Amino acid sequence: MLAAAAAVSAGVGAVPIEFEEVIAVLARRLGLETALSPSFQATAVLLEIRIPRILMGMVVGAGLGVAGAALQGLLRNPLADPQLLGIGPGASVGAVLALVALGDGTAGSVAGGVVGAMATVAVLRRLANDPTPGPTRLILSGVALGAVLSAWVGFLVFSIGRNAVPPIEFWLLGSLTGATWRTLATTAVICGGALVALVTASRSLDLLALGENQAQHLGVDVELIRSVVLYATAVAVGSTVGAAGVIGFIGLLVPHLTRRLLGPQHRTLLIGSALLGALFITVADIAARTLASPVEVPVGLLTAAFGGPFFLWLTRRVGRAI
Amino acid sequence: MTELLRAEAVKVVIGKAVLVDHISITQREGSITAVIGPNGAGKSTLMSVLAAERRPSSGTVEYLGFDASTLSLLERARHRSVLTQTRPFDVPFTTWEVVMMARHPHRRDPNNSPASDEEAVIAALKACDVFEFRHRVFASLSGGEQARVSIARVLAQETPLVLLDEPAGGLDIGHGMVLLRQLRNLAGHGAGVIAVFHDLNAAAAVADWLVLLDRGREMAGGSPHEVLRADLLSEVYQEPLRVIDHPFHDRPLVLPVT
Repeated sequence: MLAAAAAVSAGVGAVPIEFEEVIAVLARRLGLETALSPSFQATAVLLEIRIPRILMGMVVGAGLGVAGAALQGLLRNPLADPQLLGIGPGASVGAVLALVALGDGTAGSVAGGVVGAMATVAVLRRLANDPTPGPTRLILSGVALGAVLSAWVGFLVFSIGRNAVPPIEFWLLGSLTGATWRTLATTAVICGGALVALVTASRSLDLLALGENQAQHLGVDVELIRSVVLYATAVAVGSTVGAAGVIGFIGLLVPHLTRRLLGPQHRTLLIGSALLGALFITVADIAARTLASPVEVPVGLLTAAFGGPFFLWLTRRVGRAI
Repeated sequence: MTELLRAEAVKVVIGKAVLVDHISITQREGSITAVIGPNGAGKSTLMSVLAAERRPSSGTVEYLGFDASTLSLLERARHRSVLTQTRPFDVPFTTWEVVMMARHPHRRDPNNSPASDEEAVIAALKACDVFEFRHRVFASLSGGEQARVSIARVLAQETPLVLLDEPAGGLDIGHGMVLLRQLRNLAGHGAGVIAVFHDLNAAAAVADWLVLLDRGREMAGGSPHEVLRADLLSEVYQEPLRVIDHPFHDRPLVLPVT
């Protein structure tokens, strides 16, 4: 399904390309002979713009999906998602600062996003560990911190970001425009490393469902798992926010959908959330490029606009199937 | 007899409140200790110290002669299982998956195999009369059924020392008796069991040794006949209580006067 969505995605956009031509470009790239000779324009659009963009969407979707699933498991709260906990807004502050300071070039904003998200987690841990650490305190502290950080983002955009190129407002709504092979590689390596770390924590996340005490009694180092999951999530979310801005609702929606399809075991849940998140963004990005073509709708608007009702529909069915 | 647990002069102080005051308990193989006392007596706090979950303000807890706080989390988990008072649980794991989690401490054990994990889980599910629920989602079971699954989880962990905080909570009289027989059976196979009971008669029926707590202090320790005395219980529970001989076996029976 993911491959099919990617193939469709490669064809659509401001410059439509026939499916045969897409295949021809890819085949020639791999050194194969093709009957159809693709135009120079199609080759350039595909290889330099569309394919890195599609792959970037997949990385971002996978990162957000896994981050949401891991946070929901760690905090045993179905509402937990990186945006709610302030990790997303923290990444935005870092990324916007990097954009303003370093100008265009997403590698800088990726680094800024990661630093911002990790700093947020560090503050969050301090706030939530006193006097008694626990999921509820962490969530409440995260919501408060997120509100403050969102205000900072607004302030930054309002005061210094107005004349920035590309416009920061557009980036804030979530957009895959501007993905290049270089930023894709940076994001994929950083985000992929974080996802691997989260998958290794999956068994401990399963045991955490029993409650932190009981998990600890069974030999899980709860404090260590909390650090690993929070910081790995920060890295994953920070890099995606730096690369593509704020793409809402995937961290919440995708894990719920995956749990319904594959069950609650975190190993399958995390891997499934990565695939489903990638698929979700790929489809949303097709819509973003075609709905108002040749003008592009920010993909973050679409994920929230369509994800919200879908999520409602999903929660209404929970009573029966779970 | 091996000393599975030795707690020496354990004290827990939080702020100015003394929750547990100078309690010593030795638990040997093949016997059952019941911890009793009114609400807020410090029973659960004491259990969390015995489980090495909470470090005492002073005093020591040893497992098999080793300071429990120096053992790794997995070493502790292979030595003692712990049932805490139940909490809401809303992740849709099945009963089977929940009980299988108890096998986590044994995963790196070279003598352990997936087959022995399954065997332990099946035996535990059957012993607690919940085998038929194995494919059901744990959260969809009734409170009493969940309590039985939680006990099955403790059994599946297969540890020499078993610590239970109110295992009888939420059980009907039939399954309450099943629980007491299971505890006897565990002790019969060499385990040491320390359990908190609110039902004094359940404690009297099953325990070899009783510890009566009140406001963190040990008011009495000994056999059921030694600890379950009408004057002592009436004072501790602030309610007139009588103690008679149980008509069917050689254990005391506590009854309210009114």
